[in-house]
Amino acid sequence: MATSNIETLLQLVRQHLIGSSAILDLVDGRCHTSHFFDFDNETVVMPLIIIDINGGSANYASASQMVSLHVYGYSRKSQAEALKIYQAAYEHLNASELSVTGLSLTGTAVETERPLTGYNDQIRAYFARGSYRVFTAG
Amino acid sequence: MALNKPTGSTNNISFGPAIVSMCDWVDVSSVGATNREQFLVDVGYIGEDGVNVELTSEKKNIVQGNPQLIEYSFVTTQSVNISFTSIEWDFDRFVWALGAGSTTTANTGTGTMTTLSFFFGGNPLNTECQIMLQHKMASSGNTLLLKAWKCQSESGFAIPFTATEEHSFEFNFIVLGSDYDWYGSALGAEESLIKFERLSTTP
Repeated sequence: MATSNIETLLQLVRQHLIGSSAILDLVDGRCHTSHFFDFDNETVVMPLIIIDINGGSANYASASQMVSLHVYGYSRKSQAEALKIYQAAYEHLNASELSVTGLSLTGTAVETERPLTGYNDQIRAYFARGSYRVFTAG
Repeated sequence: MALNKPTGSTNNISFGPAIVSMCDWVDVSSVGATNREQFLVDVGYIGEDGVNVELTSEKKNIVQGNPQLIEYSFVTTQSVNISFTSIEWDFDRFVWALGAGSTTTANTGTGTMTTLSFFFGGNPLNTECQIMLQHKMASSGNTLLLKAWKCQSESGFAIPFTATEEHSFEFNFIVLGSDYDWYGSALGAEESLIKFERLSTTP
């Protein structure tokens, strides 16, 4: 039975991203589906990618959904590195076919806003944040 | 179980745009059976709104009695329109989109300067073209093909020199009735305008 599962969608995007060797080279698998509570924690290794849900909609039958996401590239080192991480994510995610073995959802993603950049004092890291729409069925 | 939730197949759900391919129309009945599909070329980048295919079937109702009840309904007009917004300055596409005009390429001046030219105006004929749309379905991975056997430009288009957005050109086509497909086979009575194909793999 079709179910528009939001966690599966996040895993679909996450696993799609870390399926790219270019992204793995940059963040070494550190692609998370939520922000940390304490970014000051020294155990949080950067650079990394964070996928953050920003709303969306699903149809009545739960057969398909559209979810807005923010995709962050974070770097403690420089804005340039944050942008480089974001660019790698963009090249692999935008207009791509999302399909991962073992996950019930398939779909596609499209960037809707180019990245916003800046320095986050609380996190103490540079970021580049773009917006996406992810469409899935399954 | 959710209330009034239908049962369906998510394999039949899809999202996203399509790729548009075009070429000149040729009467295969006169040139002999040939695969016209091989002449199709990708029209290039299109706008975010993608491609729109509009199928219409206008009906005429025969009514009788008082109050008048519909006794019979028959089709008076069937048509297909295809529209999309090109964002490429490609003069060859302009010719298809207008059904008129011509292009030339010449080496002019000194060195390697090439001049591409587009001429328009003075020919009353509306030339024909062929259009194919290709879309890979997001869920099933199947490929949808729409083959519009014989098309003509439906209108002109504006050329906006805008400051804040990329130049874009709205192309509109109407599909004509055709006696033959692109491979020389005669088309049946219900096959004259378009053909949708759903392929289990990417061609």
